[in-house]
Amino acid sequence: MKILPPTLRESNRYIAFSIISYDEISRRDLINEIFYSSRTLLGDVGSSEMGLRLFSFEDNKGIIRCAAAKTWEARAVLATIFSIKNIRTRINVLGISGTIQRATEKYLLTKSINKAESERKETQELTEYEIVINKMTIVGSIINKQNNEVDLLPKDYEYNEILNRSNTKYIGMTVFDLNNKEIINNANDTSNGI
Amino acid sequence: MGTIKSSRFIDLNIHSLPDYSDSPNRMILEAKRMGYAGICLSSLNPANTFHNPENIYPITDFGIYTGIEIQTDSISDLNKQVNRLREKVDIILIGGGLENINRSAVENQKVDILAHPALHGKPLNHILTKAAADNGVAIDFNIDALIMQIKGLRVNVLSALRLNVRLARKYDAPMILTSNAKSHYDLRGPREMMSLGLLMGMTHEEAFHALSSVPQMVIKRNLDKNRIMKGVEVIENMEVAQ
Repeated sequence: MKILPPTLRESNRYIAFSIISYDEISRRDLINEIFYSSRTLLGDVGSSEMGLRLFSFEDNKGIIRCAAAKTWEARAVLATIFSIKNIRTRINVLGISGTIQRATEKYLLTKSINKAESERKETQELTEYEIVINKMTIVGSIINKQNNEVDLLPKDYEYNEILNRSNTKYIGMTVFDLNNKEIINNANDTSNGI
Repeated sequence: MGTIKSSRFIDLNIHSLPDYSDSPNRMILEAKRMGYAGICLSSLNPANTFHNPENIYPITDFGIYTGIEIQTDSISDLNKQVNRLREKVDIILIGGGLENINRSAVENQKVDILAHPALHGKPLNHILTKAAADNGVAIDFNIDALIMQIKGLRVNVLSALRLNVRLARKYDAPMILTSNAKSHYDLRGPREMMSLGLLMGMTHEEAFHALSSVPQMVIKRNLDKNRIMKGVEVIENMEVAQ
């Protein structure tokens, strides 16, 4: 049998994305959530026209294929995901490209992104840190520290109300909010922290 | 699309720590990383509109504006708060949703943005939209209605937002896309915001302007010291010879 001629092949685009969450996300859960989101937002007809397919996914970064004419809808589908298995998640679209190779080279192998991900460490430090924001002091322990970003678990129960209102588990902040100065010295000296 | 890459996107409704769970610095850092050129940190409580500037992240080429989202259900309280806070903050948003609040917000020239007008799935009407166009009040299309709501309410809100788009297009009222973020997980990149704007029935250009030139216009008219009110401007300071 002859192969399908290039004129009849579907034209695709490849979306490079990264996932931001405070816990590990498995590939299966991500696929389920993407298809659930696509089905609720666009329905079965819209999903079938878009032809979503997850290719690679490791280190919280991956590539999704979609039809060339439906890139904006695919972005919308990724944007409407707000939690995966009750873990608050944000999918960040890094860029769109015409081939897998180019998407990988251009968006996934970029040095700064690689560096940011590789330095992610999940420490369960129980030492308490203090921050002062708008004259209110929050005491808690640091859960995640990634570059200059810090997730803090507050000690007092009164802050649970704030966390419930915003559907998150930790208070998000940067090292510049912390009162303990030694952790600021350990901060990365990248320009603007980005 | 080279124009998207080179333009300055601004998100004018982002909430930070005293109200919701992320510090102002975290929001600034995440927004800068996503490609925004500025954000407005709008607080819900008039007492903490000023996010202490000595602790702000050392960031360059990024506009940080202070704002307030007034949430009330009485018209007299709304007018009182607007008059009191107009000089203190850069941007005044009104948390809409109720019919009387929507109406008094779009009829007040001192208001900048009517935030989430279709909170309960009720659209605006032609009279309110016309008033918004006359008074320069931007009608907000909040993407968290699509992200956080599910099922029936999401359908209602989306169809209300579609009608709002049609009305705003007809009467030339300024449209604005905001994230209404409660934590950094609610922030979305500029193109994602535009794509959700497209689902609300906007065209490409409308979605693009709703995220770039309309917020820029709102900020420019508020930071302009020569502007007194709509249609009244100091063009030249002439010294009167005695």
